Amino acid sequence: MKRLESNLQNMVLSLTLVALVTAALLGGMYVLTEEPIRLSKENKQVQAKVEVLPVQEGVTFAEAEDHDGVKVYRAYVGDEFIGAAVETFDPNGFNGRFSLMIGFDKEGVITGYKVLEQNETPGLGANMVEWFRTDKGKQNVIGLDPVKTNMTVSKDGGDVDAITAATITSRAFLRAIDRAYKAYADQPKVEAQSGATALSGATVLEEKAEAEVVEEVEPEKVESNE
Amino acid sequence: MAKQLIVNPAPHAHSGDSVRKNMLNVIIALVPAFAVSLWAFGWGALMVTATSVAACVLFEWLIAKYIMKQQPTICDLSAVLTGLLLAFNLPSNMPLWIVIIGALVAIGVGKMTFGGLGQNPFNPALVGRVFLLISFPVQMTTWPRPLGFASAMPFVDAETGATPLAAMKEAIKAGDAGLLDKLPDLWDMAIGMIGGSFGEISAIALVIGGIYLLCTKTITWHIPVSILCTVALVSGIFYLTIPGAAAPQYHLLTGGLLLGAIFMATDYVTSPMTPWGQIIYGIGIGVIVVVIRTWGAYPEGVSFAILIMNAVTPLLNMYIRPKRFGEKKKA
Amino acid sequence: MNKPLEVLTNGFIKENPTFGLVLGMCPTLATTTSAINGMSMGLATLFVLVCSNVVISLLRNLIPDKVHIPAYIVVIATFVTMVQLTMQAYLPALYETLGLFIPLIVVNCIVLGRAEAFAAKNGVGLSALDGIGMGLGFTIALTILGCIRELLGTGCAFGLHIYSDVYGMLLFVLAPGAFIALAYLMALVNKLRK
Repeated sequence: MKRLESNLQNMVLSLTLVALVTAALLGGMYVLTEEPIRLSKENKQVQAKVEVLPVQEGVTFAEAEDHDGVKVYRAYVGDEFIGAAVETFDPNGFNGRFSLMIGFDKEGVITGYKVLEQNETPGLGANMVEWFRTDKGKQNVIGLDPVKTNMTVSKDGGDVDAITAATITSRAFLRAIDRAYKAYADQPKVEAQSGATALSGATVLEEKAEAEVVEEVEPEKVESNE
Repeated sequence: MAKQLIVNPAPHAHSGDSVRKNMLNVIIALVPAFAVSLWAFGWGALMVTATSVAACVLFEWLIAKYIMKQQPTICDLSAVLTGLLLAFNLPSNMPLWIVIIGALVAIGVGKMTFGGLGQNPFNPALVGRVFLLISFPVQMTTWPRPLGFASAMPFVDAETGATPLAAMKEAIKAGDAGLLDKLPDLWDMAIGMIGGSFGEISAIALVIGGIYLLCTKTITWHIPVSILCTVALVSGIFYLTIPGAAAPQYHLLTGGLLLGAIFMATDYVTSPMTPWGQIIYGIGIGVIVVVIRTWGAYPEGVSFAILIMNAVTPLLNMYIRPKRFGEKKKA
Repeated sequence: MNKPLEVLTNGFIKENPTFGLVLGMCPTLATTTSAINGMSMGLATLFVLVCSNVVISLLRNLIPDKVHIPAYIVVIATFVTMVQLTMQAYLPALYETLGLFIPLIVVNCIVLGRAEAFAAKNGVGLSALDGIGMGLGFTIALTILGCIRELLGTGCAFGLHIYSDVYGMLLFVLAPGAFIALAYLMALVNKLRK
């Protein structure tokens, strides 16, 4: 068979045909994969929130609350309030803004974290992905209560070991936790009415938040000695 | 035709004697800085230097003999100098196996891959250093605090301290000039009582070495002076306009700037040959240094700046011809 | 010489897309941060190569010369999108790692290059063999490169620890390491080929 001549009719016809067939193929493919793609995306979002919580099974989330860019997702198992996943950030990492998902239980203890987005220097600041949940020295923040512990790096007199050679990132990381905790402790009215358990959780947290303000003055002074 | 006009100044691989003499001069000029680092960091500095020099010479000899199958040229001292400069760019508590990797990269990747002395487009010592900085950022940015004579103890235990550059970076990130109060005295910086890679800490010792090089006509003033003036100017503008930026005197005295400007940017093989070319090259380095120190991912940018301008050198040599600007040089 | 066998093995060493033809450098450098990533990228390209070679070989006489490039690109893009959608649906983690480079297979010089140079002139069977050979050559190259970078960078190979990651040279996982490793690998292959 000889190759078709390059006249207008042939060109238009062959291109249209190719376009039609491929479009049909892709359309079919899209329909087939639409549902799995949507599911896997949704799964990913839920996964990031559930992963940092104390309980992973049967968790439902309340509507997101926005506190100056920090999003608080309060979590329930059935009707029981179990804590929250908080999407937080700090604008001043070593290489700019990064965002984290941090989990708190209903007492306000940190139950987990996940780095969502970061541009820190590889090998230095980028180590924060694992650093603060590795059990070594005082670098693990999971299980800490932001009120009872001094959440600043040990160089500044705090209770958390900074990432080796990445103090700036470490400070920013702890600031992000602080921001998350404040947003979490800042109980909105809607939440307080939603059930007895949630209410008691709220009172504890508010008291803690007040205690924290007093404590914060100390570390500042230590820092200036450095 | 155009290409035939380009004549490279020394070192040519065949003019062994003058290469050796120049290299020897540079090594002599490094002695004051080395003395200060021994005084400040003790045995650690000595161990790192010895390892680096020995590894560079050994790798050059092995590669020349067994891979390139040619007469090894280690007698021209260029491998010794590469080893010294590489060591000067490392913290004194560097694990020695990392120093050996650095030497292998400096000589193997930075120099011999391109055909040996005179053919390498990039300064081999800096290739080694940047490789180590990116590969082992933790070890490369944890410096022991200098302790004066008290430091003659096992170097693994030395206390670590932030360098002035890290403090400067933090101040500018936070936009808070108050953090700059943590910077050491200018006098401490000048004599070398600060943290840093061990060869770069003492400004005075480096300047003495620089003066020796100028007096023996091993280098000309164009590159160091244009780099330093540009850094002063650009960091001055930033100091006045950006909150948290450090004053120019800090930029000049900290980090590897003086070491880079005097000893590494002036490497014959990788810098332009005409005075005007050298001045443009110097200005380029100066601007990049301050930009990286202000916004970059690493606190120090001297090595990166010199390597980037090394890459521009062939272009500068092509466009800025010796003949056309011969007259202006005298004016 | 056995022609089909020759066509198949051509892409392994002699005209290896990465080391011999130096095509498709963008995914080669960008996705070989680990052996698994390199291999996945290679396999995705292999699939597209085989499918597009077969279809283009079938259509080679139905498409007039003046419009053959747009027609080929549409065919290639279709297969790439299919790979992309499938990956997104069933291998989301891998899709996230390879990300942008999956759609970029469309403009990978190897795919269009083989369509032009081989499939447009040969029968379906040979074209399929050519696609398999070239695709495997590409996959092998990317896997080796990924393996070297992963090993030097993190002390692992295919995710298995070979030595402590304390000795890993981070540079090899980053972009400059890709260039350095590729350069030495290419030099080595050239030396072996002589």
